[in-house]
Amino acid sequence: MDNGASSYRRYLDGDDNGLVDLVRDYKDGLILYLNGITGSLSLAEEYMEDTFFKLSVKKPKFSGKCTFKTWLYTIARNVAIDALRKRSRISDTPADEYYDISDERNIEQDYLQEEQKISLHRAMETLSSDYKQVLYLTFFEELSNTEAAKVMHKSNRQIENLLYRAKLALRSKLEKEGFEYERL
Amino acid sequence: MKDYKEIANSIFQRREEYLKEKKRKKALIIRNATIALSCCIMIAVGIGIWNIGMLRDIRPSPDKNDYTLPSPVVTTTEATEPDDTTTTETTIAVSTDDITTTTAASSTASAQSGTSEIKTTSAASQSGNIVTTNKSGNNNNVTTARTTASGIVITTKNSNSGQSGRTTTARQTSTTTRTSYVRTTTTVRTSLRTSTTTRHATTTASKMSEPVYTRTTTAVYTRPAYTTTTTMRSPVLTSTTALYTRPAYTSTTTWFSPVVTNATSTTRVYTTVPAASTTRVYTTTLAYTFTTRQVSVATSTPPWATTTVAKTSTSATDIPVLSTTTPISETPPATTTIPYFIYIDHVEFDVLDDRIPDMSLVKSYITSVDTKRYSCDVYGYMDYDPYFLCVAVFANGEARFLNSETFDPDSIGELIDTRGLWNNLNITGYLDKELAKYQPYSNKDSIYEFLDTYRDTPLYIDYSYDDRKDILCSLFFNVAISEDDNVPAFSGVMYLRENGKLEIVMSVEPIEFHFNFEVGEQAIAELRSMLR
Repeated sequence: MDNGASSYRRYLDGDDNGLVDLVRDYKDGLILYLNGITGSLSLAEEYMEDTFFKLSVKKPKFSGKCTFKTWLYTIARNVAIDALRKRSRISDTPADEYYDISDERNIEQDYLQEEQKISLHRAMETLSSDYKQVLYLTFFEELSNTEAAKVMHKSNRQIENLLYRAKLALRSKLEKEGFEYERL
Repeated sequence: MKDYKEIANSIFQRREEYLKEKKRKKALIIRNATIALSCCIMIAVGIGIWNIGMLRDIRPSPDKNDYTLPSPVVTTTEATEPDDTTTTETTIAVSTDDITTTTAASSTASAQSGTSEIKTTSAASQSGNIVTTNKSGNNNNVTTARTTASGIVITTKNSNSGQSGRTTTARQTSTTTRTSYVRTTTTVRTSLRTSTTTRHATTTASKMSEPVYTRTTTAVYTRPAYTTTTTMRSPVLTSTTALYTRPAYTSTTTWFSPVVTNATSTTRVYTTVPAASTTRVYTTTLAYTFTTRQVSVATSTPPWATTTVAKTSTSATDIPVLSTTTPISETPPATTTIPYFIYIDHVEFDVLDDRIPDMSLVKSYITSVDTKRYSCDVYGYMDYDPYFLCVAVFANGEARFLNSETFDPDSIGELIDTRGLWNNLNITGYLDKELAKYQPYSNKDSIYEFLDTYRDTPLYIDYSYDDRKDILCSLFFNVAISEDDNVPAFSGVMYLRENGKLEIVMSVEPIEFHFNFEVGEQAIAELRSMLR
């Protein structure tokens, strides 16, 4: 059981600090991941809150069949997709949308830390949502293909194909910009 | 960008609000569900009660006292005298809970000229709780007393010295637990003159129907008639009144022996003596409830002189009672009103002791549907017992039959002896359970014989009117508005039920009478076989 699982167990046992620890450890990663889904950092932040709110009130059972991060990201993805589905019926643009750029930079700086990763993440911005998700989960969150497949509700083969095409697209983009990334 | 602590606090705040809202919704749902469930349960229970018919089984209390209305009876006897007479007026009131009293009043007037002596005697004996007040004198004397009683009211009116006399007897029998208001008034006016002038007397309230079907009663009836009724329950004879006429050296004497053995039956003796010259009728009725010895009756014809004597005893075992009355003239009496009360739909009416004047008024009721009539006069009708059937005449000229809930026979005998009932009754047919087919039947004599055989069978209270599953045979009858006109006034059914029960139902507005008797299974079987 990783730290996330133990924190969640503490929260289930009545210790609210367990949830505080979960927010502290996973909020940035979730925001960046959800940003890849929503394309909006404010929405990603909002859905991140919704994810932890769902954990706090619904208290879903974590069975331990996968890592806590995989399970949490799966929940976050479902929350984001549900919210986007609802949001699609209402076309509005939050006012804080204009502050996304500066916030995203701060998060990248705090969460990714490495300059190379930051450059790579910024290069991913123009890719499609699925490419961004699979690349983020495998490169930045370092999930295996199986875990990424679980989070994205896809099969391993689909993830492999998706990851291959995503790497190809990202490499092409980086080459145009004069960058080179050894893992691609 | 919010700090993780701010995010956590925001999440916790949202959680609290969410839980609070959830709790409120839960409470709201529980409250609404409770209300809805209660309504559903009530509806289900109501439907259940409706389906099983529980409401129809709810009956009023069998205790009659809960529903008995006071039935005051006031009887007035009045005699008309010439203007130049000195009158003695005596009012007697008796108060008792258990009326076993007889009031006998006799007046003797000697045939003298001038200021002749008038002697008026009013005697009443006391039995049980009886309280009697007597007052008599030569001039107008009035004594008034009140009584709470149920049972019997006897009013006797005597007139002497060849003057008109009038006797009215009103009799009401009901359960002894009923509280009634009884007021008895006897007015006797006696003339000082001795005269052979005959006047007419008539009976107004208790004209007797011809008891054609009476087995134990011998009756000869001619109207108008004097009727005197004496009823005793105490082993001590309280009083008797016997009236007889002595036209042209004839006299009627009635003796009876009040020896008491067991109170088993009521015996009525009607004796009629053919009157000479202008005398038409007289009738003497003796009724007492507990003697088994028959009354001896002797009749003779006294001369025109008239004497009335009444003896009252409280201990003698053989008491001859003698009284005479004057011949009755043909002159019709002045209309006498005997008011008493009858309740119709909780409205109190005066009952006027007079015949309904126009038969068409009565017939109009049969086709009338108008019930919005409030002001009316209630009359006695034909020869019916006014407690059983009377007629209300409304201001617009319409009339309708009515009955009084005070009609309350205690036995089969009292029911079939109800004045006007049996002689106007027509049996139409029966429906036997086994035959399952309506059969015409008209021999009411056989039905009367059967009922007369069980005349002592007492009435019992049974409110299970809706339970008709135990009916073996239904015998249908109707009662005509008069003997001369077969238009049915009302109809009725005699139900022969299992377990030896006989139920007689008569639908007389506004009350449907139900009389239940336990005559025994053998009797029921006998009647069924007779009908077949």
